[in-house]
Amino acid sequence: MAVLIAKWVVFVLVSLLAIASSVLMIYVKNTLHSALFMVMAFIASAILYLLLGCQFLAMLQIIVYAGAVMMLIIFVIMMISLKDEEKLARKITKTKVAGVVISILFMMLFILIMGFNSVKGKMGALTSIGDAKTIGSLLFTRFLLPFEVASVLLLAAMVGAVMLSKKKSFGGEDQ
Amino acid sequence: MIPVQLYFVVSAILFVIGVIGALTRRNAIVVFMSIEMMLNAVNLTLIAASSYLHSIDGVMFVFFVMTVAAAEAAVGLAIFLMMYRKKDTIKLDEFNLLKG
Repeated sequence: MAVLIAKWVVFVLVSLLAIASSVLMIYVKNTLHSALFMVMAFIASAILYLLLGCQFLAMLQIIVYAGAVMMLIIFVIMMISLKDEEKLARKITKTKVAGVVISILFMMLFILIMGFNSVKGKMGALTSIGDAKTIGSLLFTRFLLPFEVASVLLLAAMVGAVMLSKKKSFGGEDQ
Repeated sequence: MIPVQLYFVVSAILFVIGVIGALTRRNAIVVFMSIEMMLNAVNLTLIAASSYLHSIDGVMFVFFVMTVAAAEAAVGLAIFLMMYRKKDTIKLDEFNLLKG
């Protein structure tokens, strides 16, 4: 019983934290601050993964997003001067209002469909599905082909990033 | 037991916040982060469904979505750098070459 109450408390607090920090992420003007709020939202969702019993993906979320992607974003923010963007006034145009209204309508639709229908299947939290051992053994058996394709994709992304951010672009000589 | 529907509601809210950010902000990096937020919301849905249906498939899917998101981050940020070199800004309104 105590564990259940603790789970509820953690769930409510962490969900509110995730929602609040993602709202702040799109609201604050300073790009660096919004990057830090993004990290907070991602760590909050890693805790939600832990609540769902998915330890491996929670760790991966923290390593990949709060570590790697975050570093990249902060480096790029520091290399780029964002003075113009921060001075930009918050204009409220018709397009933006339409976008927000449509998004909120979509959210209500989604909540009505997903939130009030019962999910069919075996209910109950998973116990040992989300640990590294299960995922690792599946990656090398059933999901071997997607795993290899993912590694090729990562190699292509690495080469692409290096090519794009070279001082002289394609065909030019190296400096 | 926390009902799975609550997780779905949370991820719907996160997704819509991401959509609103991508539609209303004009700073390319913030738009990019909003897109990452949408991917994250989808991941949360997949893990919640996977956990409550006792199936590993959603978790594996999330693994590959994360891989693609990392690759996308590397290439996307390199593209932002190139855009900045070309126009000295990454305001998305300035990039309207395909508008005709």
